[in-house]
Amino acid sequence: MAYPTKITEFFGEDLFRLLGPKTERQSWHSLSFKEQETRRKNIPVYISTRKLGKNPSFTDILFECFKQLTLLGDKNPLMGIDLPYYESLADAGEQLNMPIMNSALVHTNDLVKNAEKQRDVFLAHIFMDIVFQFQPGLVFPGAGRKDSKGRIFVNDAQHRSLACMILGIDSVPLNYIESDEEYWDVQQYAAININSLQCSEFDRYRIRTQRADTSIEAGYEVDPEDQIAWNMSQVFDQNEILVVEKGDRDVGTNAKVLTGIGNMTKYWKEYGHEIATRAIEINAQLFPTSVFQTANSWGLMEFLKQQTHTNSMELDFEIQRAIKVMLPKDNQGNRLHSMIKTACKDQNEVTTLRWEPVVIAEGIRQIVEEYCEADIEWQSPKWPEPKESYDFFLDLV
Amino acid sequence: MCNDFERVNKLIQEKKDNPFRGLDDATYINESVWREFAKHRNLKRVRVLDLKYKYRWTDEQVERMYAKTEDGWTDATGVYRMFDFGKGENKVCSEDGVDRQFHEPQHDHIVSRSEAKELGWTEKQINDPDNIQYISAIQNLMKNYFNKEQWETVSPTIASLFPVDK
Repeated sequence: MAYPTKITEFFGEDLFRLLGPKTERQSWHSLSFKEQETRRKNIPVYISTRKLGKNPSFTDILFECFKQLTLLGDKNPLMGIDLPYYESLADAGEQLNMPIMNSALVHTNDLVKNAEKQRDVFLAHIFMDIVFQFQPGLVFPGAGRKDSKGRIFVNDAQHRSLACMILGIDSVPLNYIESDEEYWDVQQYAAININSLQCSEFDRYRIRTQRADTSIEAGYEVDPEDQIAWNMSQVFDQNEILVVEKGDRDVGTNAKVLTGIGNMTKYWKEYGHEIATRAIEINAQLFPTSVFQTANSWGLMEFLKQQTHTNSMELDFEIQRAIKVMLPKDNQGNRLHSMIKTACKDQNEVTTLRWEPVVIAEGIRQIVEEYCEADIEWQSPKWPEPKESYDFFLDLV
Repeated sequence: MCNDFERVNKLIQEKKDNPFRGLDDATYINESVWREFAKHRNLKRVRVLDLKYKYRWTDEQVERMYAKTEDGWTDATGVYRMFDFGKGENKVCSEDGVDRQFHEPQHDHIVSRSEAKELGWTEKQINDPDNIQYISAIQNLMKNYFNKEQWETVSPTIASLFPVDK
């Protein structure tokens, strides 16, 4: 095994203490999305490494991360998970049938961290974004500084290096300068993390959709998050909804333009494909000349979730027809959610709302109860905490 | 036609009883007026609220204007014509024509703006409900074309130009 001795001595050769009996382990991707979400929430977002001294080794950091996970007891999110194991990046490339980067490698035993200058460890990021989606060709060379004692201070690639170590890989690509001046640690860190352009929610959606397309074309498994982006893109295309970057002045206020893709993705995951698709369709058809209002879709999803009427096509049609009686203009998309929220805030004398989707869903219920002429038994939305529900009434003609 | 008042009055009453149910700014000015309308269902009030925004009236001024505004007017031949107070989708006489002139309420400065200015009135006084009345469009039209002396001179000849069909 290529795990550091300090790790195997405490956690066991096959990480028994961390992952449990080998025969009971299953792969992360075999879990349901819901189970993945539950476990994901249990992964500590952030692990402090400052208590490990001024220059902890990467082995010490990995030990601390594993220790924090095992301390969670029955909430340890890795218990029962079959982590992949690779001897090296080349071995990962072979096993996964993927190309790898052609870079000079350094041994992970030599890696240390300038704890004052580097950020702490974001553990959820390591597992969710790297370990469970591992592709050796994406382990780009990091950046660092080698001092006269032979220690390599990692100023970029802390997380991917730790991810590689978790997967058993003991050599990672890293470019470094040779110096004893800490000055370079700060400079390297700032150049990469402060002066670089961050990825926007729109960019995430755009690239995930494209990656799903190219993965399908190349015969690779599609990443589950990419699949969601791709599924959403199909629904948006069918409804002629244009997803754009926030602040795009050329098209930002045009009909059916969606700038809140980050929120939309969140809602899609929460309510699932079927309900999300229906809510998006209703919203797009109701207000075809409005900027696409994600808040309407959010409230519609929450409302649809509670309905028990078996004919969903009829249900969606009647919701649409009833709302259209009240908001007859195609450009009134903003009105639906804003008037509901205003009524709720005014009548409850609050400036901010909790349970926003439930508030909007309750407003939609009042509208359909008033304006729908079909014989449908509408179900009320459920307040997450009954004691803290809002009472409000829309003024309807 | 202007003698179609019975049908127009009936349509106006029907619209009062069954107003447009949609939230539409052309019909209900804004969301606040819509909410108020949902409570009172009063088209005359919507029309008065139009003046509230125009002249920045207080609630007291709105109430004063509403209280003094009649639901219609009776012409010189004794015909009662309801005011078509609805806006947008609630408007009954939406096409230009003689009937519209007789049923469309228009707000009128009792002492005209120019005369009031000459008298040294402030803008607040000029636009106070005490100096504003709703009259029909036809009355307002006449008022625009004639001054008091001209109207007294010409009006007795108008009926003879259009003898009533017996």
